[in-house]
Amino acid sequence: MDDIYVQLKGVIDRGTEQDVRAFLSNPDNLAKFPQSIQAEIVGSFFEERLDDTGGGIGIVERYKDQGIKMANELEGGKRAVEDAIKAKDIQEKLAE
Amino acid sequence: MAIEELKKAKREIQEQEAGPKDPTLELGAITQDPHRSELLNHILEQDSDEGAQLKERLAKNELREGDIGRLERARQKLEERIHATKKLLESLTAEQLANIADAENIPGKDEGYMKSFVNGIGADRTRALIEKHIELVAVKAPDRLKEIEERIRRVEAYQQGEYRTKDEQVEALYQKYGLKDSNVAEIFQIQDNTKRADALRGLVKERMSRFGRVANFLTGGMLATDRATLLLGQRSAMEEKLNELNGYLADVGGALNLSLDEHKEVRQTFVHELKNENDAEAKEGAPLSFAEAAQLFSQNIDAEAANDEWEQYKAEQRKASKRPDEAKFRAAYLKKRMGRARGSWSSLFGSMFEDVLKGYKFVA
Repeated sequence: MDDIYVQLKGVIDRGTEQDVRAFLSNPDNLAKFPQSIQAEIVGSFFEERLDDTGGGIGIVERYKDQGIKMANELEGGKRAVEDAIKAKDIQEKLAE
Repeated sequence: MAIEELKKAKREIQEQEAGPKDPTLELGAITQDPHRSELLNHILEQDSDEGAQLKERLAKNELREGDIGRLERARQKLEERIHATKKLLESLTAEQLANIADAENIPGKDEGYMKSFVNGIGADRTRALIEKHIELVAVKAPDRLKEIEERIRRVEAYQQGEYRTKDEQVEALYQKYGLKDSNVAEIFQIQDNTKRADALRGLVKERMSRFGRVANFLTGGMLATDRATLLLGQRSAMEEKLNELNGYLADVGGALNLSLDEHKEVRQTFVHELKNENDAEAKEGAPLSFAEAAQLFSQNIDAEAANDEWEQYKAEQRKASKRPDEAKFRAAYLKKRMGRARGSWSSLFGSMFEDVLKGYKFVA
């Protein structure tokens, strides 16, 4: 087995996830992998970053849509209560 | 109209007959390029068992009659996928790549790994490697290519302010209720990075939980029930209800405010927590995480276990009077060991394991 894979296995078995990520993203280590694996390493980190940014935007936008809809519903509920209070005021004035 | 259509059809036929416009996509050039021939091999493998055999014959330069036609069909498929990748990468400008690499780090998850590549090997080399990776995705997992395309488009739209209208609605809501984010300001006084990140996560989780409570209140139809009761109720009950609704509006506004760009660190933490929640819901059938795929790779590195399985396979084949096929065994062993190959991390560690497996020698 190539030395770079022996080293990688050591980091996975004894280190944290952050250690493994740091090992793979170290340019000196990267150069020791075959070309096709180098492309997959950089590309996978890129996909993850894209998922956090582009994917995150999608999730946040759905959250915002839901929140704006909820705020509109609550506004409607508030208006109904305010109207009921006004009606109560009129009722009380008429009863005086 | 009909003449125009005929002309167009004639042009298309002529173009097809003329073969690829790009000389690097001619069959000869593909077979000379290790990356492109790997892509062609994947297409052949996906085709059928016959495709896998054709791949072997191509490697040994032992092509039979009819093989060229099959190879040309695979080449055309590869050309289509490469064109799709090139189209996608047109929008990935150097500036876009720098923006993605420079985005705020996510504590505990991303400590600037993309930046490390850009600084260590240069933006051009990083982009060239990403291009190769995306070409591989286009061939092996076209669905993931669509996701990548969608995400690049979203980042672009976000940078161009396409979502600004919704942000303005959120800001207006926040202003209307006179909400003040004093909690966020307090957190930003914390100098220690880890403690500040923990405090931010706590705040984000608390606001998301309040938001969830309001969502449950509304989906439970409580607003309509309350309205009916109110008409018969006392003034004090009505005023109490008004306060409650104002509190709910403040909860919604407080959660949505986390999504604004005012503080990048807040937004990043919010996005991260939302994604965690989302991923947890979609856990069933979800791709392997980085840690899961790395562990699986490490556990599978066992030359002795691989040899034992090879011996067992050989014995079974001989018992059934069949000739053991090492290539078939390797492909099946890889699939069995790396489990569900979905997502980029399982694909990366799967490729690494395949590379390690190539070094194992099995006795025929």
